[in-house]
Amino acid sequence: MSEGLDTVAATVRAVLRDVLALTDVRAAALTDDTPLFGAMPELDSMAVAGLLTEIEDRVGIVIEDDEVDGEMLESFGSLVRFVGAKALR
Amino acid sequence: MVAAAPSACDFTIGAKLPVQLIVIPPLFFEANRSRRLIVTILRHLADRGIGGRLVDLPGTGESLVDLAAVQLADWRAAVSAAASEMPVPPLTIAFRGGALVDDVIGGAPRWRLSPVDGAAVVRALRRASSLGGNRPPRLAGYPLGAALLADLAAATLPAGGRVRTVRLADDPATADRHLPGTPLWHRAEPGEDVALAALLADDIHDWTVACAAL
Repeated sequence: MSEGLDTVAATVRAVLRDVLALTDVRAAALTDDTPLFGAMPELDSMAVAGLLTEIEDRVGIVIEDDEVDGEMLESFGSLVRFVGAKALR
Repeated sequence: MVAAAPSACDFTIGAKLPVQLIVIPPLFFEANRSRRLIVTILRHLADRGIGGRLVDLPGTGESLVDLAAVQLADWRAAVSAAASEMPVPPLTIAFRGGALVDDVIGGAPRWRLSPVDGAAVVRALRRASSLGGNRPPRLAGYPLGAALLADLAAATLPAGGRVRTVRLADDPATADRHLPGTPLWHRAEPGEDVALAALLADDIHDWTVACAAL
């Protein structure tokens, strides 16, 4: 991972911890392959809305509705890559 | 416009105390998630001689007004009417989108936590709505009228006057102070953040002292 993407990953990890009330242990255990939407019980549709809005606030990006799909939320790694593509360009 | 009578359901505490705050909550679902935090802050402040009134904006919270008929001007009128009923002229406290209508009390110093502009409020509503499978005219379960939606989409944070802005430590936006804490207003299951409530109460307390000294 590039240094920039590492920073994005740290931010996304912290947002998941804060918005889903994950323990530090669970947040630290998230890897690229950790499945998110449909696999993490805390992550229902209202939680996704709060998660994306908090990511917008912390990273300073705008996420459009038509960009939100199952692929983006499939895993921790896919969410980090999505946010990184917006934040680092 | 709908009637601007203050809601009888407003949470008030310490009405006889010499310093008074009028508190404008975040908008829509963020208000429900933040209510416990706000009430905890007001209890801390009441212990230190500062009373407060948390307004229910027309059409939200416990208000019986039909949200579909509400415009942004109604929220301004309700805040102004509630303030005029208070025993002393209050200082203004606003959370998140509540800051969009925090300039209605002429000249009163304003304290804000993590304020957002109207476009962000509308974007969050649309997102929650589309993810939740809502269809117009309801947005995320709220029957917003077209006028309020248009008002909000164009609303920017009122500038000018004496404003203190506090944000959370992880929020990169500019502020007078950043404090460590959890953005409970973005949590589907908000819980509480006891340390953040105490820090915010301290900051508001010190700010009221500074305001009184001016």
